[in-house]
Amino acid sequence: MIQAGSARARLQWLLLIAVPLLVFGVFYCAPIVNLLRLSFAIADSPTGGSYLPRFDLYTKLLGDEYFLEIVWRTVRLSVLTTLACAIFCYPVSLVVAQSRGWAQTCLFIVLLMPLMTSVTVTTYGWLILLGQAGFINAVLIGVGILDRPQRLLQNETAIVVGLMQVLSVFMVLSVAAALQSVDPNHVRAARSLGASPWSAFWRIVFPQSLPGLRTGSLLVFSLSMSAYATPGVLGGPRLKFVSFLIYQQAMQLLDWPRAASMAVLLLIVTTGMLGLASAYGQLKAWRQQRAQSAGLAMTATSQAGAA
Amino acid sequence: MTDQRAAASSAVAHLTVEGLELSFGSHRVLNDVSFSIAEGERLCLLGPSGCGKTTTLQVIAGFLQARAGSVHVAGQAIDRLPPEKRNIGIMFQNYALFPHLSIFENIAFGLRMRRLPSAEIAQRVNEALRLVRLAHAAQKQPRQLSGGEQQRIAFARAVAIHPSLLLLDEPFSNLDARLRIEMRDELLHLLKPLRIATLMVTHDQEEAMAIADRVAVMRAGRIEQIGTPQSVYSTPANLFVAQFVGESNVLEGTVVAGTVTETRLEAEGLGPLSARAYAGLRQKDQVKVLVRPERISLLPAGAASREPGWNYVPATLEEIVFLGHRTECRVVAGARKLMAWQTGGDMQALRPGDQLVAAWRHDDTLVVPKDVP
Repeated sequence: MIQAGSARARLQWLLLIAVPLLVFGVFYCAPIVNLLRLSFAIADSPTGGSYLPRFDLYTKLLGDEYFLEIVWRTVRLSVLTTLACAIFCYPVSLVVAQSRGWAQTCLFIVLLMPLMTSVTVTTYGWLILLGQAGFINAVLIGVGILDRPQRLLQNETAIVVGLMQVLSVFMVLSVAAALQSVDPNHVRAARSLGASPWSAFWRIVFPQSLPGLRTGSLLVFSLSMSAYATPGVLGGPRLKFVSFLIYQQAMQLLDWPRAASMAVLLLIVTTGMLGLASAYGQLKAWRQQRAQSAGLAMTATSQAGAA
Repeated sequence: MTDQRAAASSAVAHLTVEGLELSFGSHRVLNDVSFSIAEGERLCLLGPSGCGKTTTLQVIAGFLQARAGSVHVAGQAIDRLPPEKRNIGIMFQNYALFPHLSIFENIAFGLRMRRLPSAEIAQRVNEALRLVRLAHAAQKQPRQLSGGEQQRIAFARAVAIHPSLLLLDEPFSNLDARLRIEMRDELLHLLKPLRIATLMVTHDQEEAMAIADRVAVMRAGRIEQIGTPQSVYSTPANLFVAQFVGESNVLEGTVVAGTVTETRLEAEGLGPLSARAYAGLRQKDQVKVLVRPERISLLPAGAASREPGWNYVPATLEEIVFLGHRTECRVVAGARKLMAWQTGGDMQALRPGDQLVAAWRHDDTLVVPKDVP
């Protein structure tokens, strides 16, 4: 009886997870596996490649300075974008977390605006602002800071600024959620125990917002690594991102295996960077814990000595 | 006892709160709040939610600025000081332990802020942990502790800084009923030997009376009465205090005559009664007459003895509820219903419809002014 019941429960459980498993398998695992398979093939027809397990493409790509330069730029600018987002979005998150009612709704709308419009449209907006005859140049010349238009586009700063604008909402939402979950009594308690407002923030609020900062950074970094439109438009053909290269290979040169192996490498680099970051975090936590217990042992021995 | 305490509090007032005024918009939250706490004394602000008791606490702690009035600790005005300069230990309603710090670091926080040498910090943290009997929990995280343990840590954190004043905000409201009584005794045992001036805020009259040397009953931003638990209970200043602190049978009454020893009243629906002597009452004054249900004795109708100093009212038993530690009897006396709580005695013999006599002392007949509704 009990066994029959448990068997039935197991069946129900299987049925329940079958749907998400199926969706995950069909729409996520299968394409990745196909991508992997394709990356080991050689191009011979516009629709794909003949399968042959070879590492040629990878060894070639890893020895290709042009490709590595693009990977390096993608990683570097993504890290920069993530850092810039973290630094500039943190104060914004504080404001969002402290605002209430309609003020918060307005802030959310402003923040979500870039997501509601197409990335391409937003990015073209930057073209208008940053162009040689654009708004920023006009203002700078009008005020007298510049005497002739500067080239504000097609450089790395433009890419980082553009990515920041599109992606900052992910950082703000993650950090604001973490900040909002901090009990206001924690700040009061810290103040009553002798902490200045700054010290209470730094020692009590900030550490509790770190999980949000981590989630936000993860989102911004992975989205920057796979960004296509923004670096393409603001960086121009000289400053390509890996995604742009993949698009070129797949859609313009129809070299699907090459595009596939680039995509696999991008995936590895992205997950690798995230893994490194999380490992560093864990190492730090472990060290802290060890230091703490060592500190305790010290106080214990000093007490024993005193006794 | 009462007089001694009163004398002590007027002699060395450690905390003096004078004329606090505060409004949120058009809502007057604090209305001339004044009181003082002697060194080592425990005062409790008691009142229903929204009466301004927590606001008073926040003004003293420095989280809110009063529009008028002053707060002095040990003779020094602290109104202009930020919270971190006031040296006030606070135990929050939800404890507010820092979740990312160990128990040790939670208690050490205030000491680190004071830049004490680490040896002294360790010594004082361990001392505080021993005080609350949680020395073994030093390296645990707050979430690993039970509610009662978290509260003891919150207490340890508040007293580790050797505060000049301790504020307790609804200390037991987050605990379940059984633990609440346990922690009440525990807290009292912790507080007594420390001799820190303590201000507690609660809406629970039993907690207030158990912990505090003196109770201040608040309503709508105003202190209605301050006194020892006994005096507030036995001589409430008005109907609100009487009803908030303990239960009462409330009757309408008219003053018939007042002498030095007693006040004679005519209670509506009940007939003539006598109360203790009250100064300031005049003939024909309309008043409220209160009798605590536990002060009413129920006697068999035939009992002949009539002692002086007692009110006797014939009554019919209507309903009887046995609660174990007491039996609640609802009786009809004249045109009025009265509640009488009996402890012990032979209550099983009673049946609804029995003829009885309700008796209580003149001194237990409380007279308060008719409250403006």
